[in-house]
Amino acid sequence: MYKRLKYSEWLIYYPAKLFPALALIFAASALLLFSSQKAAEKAGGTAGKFFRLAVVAYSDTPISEEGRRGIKDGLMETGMDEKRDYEMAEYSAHSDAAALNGIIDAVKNADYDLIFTISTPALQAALKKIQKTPVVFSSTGDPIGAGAGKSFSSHAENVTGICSMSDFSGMIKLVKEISPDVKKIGTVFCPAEINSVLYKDCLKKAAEGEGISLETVPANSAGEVADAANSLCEGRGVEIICQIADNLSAASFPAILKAAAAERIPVFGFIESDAKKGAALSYAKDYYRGGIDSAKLAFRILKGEKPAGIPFEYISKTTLVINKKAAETAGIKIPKAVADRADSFIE
Amino acid sequence: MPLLLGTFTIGFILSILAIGALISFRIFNFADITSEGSLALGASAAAVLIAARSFDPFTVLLIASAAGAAAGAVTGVLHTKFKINALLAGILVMTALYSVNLHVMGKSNVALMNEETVFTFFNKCLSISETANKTVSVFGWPAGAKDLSGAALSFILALVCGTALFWFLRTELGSAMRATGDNPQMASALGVNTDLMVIAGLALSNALAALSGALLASYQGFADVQIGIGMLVWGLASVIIGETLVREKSIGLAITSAVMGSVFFRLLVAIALRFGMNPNDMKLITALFVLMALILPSLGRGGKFFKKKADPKEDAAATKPSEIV
Repeated sequence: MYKRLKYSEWLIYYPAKLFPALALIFAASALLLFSSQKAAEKAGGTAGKFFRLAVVAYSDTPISEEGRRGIKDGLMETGMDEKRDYEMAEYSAHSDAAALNGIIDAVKNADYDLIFTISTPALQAALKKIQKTPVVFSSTGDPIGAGAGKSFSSHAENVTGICSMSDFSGMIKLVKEISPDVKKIGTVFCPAEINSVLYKDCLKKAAEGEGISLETVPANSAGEVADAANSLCEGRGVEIICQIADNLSAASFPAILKAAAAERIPVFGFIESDAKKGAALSYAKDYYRGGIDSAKLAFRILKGEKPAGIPFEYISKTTLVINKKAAETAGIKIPKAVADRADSFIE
Repeated sequence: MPLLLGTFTIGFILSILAIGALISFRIFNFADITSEGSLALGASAAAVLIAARSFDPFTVLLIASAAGAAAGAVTGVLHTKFKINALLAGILVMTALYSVNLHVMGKSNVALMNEETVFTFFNKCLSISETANKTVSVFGWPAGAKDLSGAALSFILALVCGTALFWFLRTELGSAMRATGDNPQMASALGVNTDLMVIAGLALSNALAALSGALLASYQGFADVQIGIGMLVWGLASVIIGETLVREKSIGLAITSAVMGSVFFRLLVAIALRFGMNPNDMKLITALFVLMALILPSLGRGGKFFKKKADPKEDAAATKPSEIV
């Protein structure tokens, strides 16, 4: 039902209709503009060695939370004191790509001294928009694929960080030591996570190098992990599950454990907390350690080093945790040589 | 200022999705979930084509929209020819698109560093350098020239899409489409091929969603297979926020209000980000802001809340299902 209006009436009618919305948009813009202006002034005002840091995470998963915790503890290890030497703002996009852009804009706007990114999308969003402020990434499996540079030593000028790729050949060696005649291992992977696919391929390569075949089942959402795990454990002849580390399986790890327990298949994990949850062992470049390592890189940058001159690094330490009870239930014996190397046990 | 401009850019980009949602939601009266899939489809198709460097950036946008239109047409065919419930048809196509998108990209995430997108193309036209961070003054505020051109381009594109849709819905074909949504029996009695109208409408709606996805990927520099998740919900929220603020159902105002709703919603998210103390509370704060924005105007209009008996005429107008007629 059109209201037939004369052209002269348009000029009054439409602006009047749109006025409340325009006013609200204007008010919101002004609020945003003035508040961010204040933040920038405040940033300029603080003198000397007080640093303002920001952590940007894409999603809320155990992996990203471990990373955040690592960054905090790592900064403390460098001897800097929160409040006295630095303040740190934390942002999470809650898996919303549009909000991630907003966060990067907000961070750029507030003139932080250094930005930590956790996970690949966060790094990518930062790469696109932040050219000057140093960016230190962690929990990123493949920084080259993400577009951070050509190689580990030749990369974007303001970016450096910690590559969180797992130690796949180390894991396969462990598998060989524990059960030398294993022929087939398996994992659930998530086609939607670029790291998950990459890790799956790396694990496959490492396994095939030792004459072991890798069986994989895709899962795309938390609800599908249980089904995928059941399908992996039943009738495929998988002898050990080496669950690669990705966001999806990290969140739904208990479902995989349950499926494996039903068939008495041992589970080896790539995340440190896996063993605590009930995996027979975990051989982890753990993300907590990755956070600590990235905090140390950040410390070097804050002390004046140029990020361009700092090559990307792998997570410095691999932790072996053995869950004796879970190993026993799954029917595997841990050889003494392996047990001696373990960093800790879960009874 | 970069925060504000970035917010406007994202707001305008996603307003194209909101305009698309307006077609399915307000003309055909159902939420077409296909849009989440076609937004990601548009993003992945655009990212792959941009990375291949064989098309100019505007052709890329057209191809991405065409892909989205095809997805919408599939939903339409499922719904009209196979009599599958419209919501379910949307869910099915969205689910299938997830795998399609993985195939389109070959992996789950494609990075676009230093590739030519519409945004860099627009910068080139305005002779703004990509590397130098030139700033210009806007009413006394310093603003990055690149940020400003990004916001301007997304505004222009939203304006073009909105105007084109406005024009289209007033043509004979567009009127037939609206009639189909309002009263299918009546429309078919008048000789309108209603099935075709639904299919065309959904194709149009999803073409817009895909265009929005393609722009989002170009702007943020990467496409991810999960980029579409949750987007339709916010697109619908934008439509409804806009309606609440404008309270008028004519086509032109409905389209304008959807754009405004999208921009306003993104502004609220940005404010929540700016003030959000605990990152875990961000979505809660966003939700509260939206709620406040919707309640405040009605409080302003003479405290309708506290009136026991409203004017029956006004009440009927307020409770009438909103239609674009």
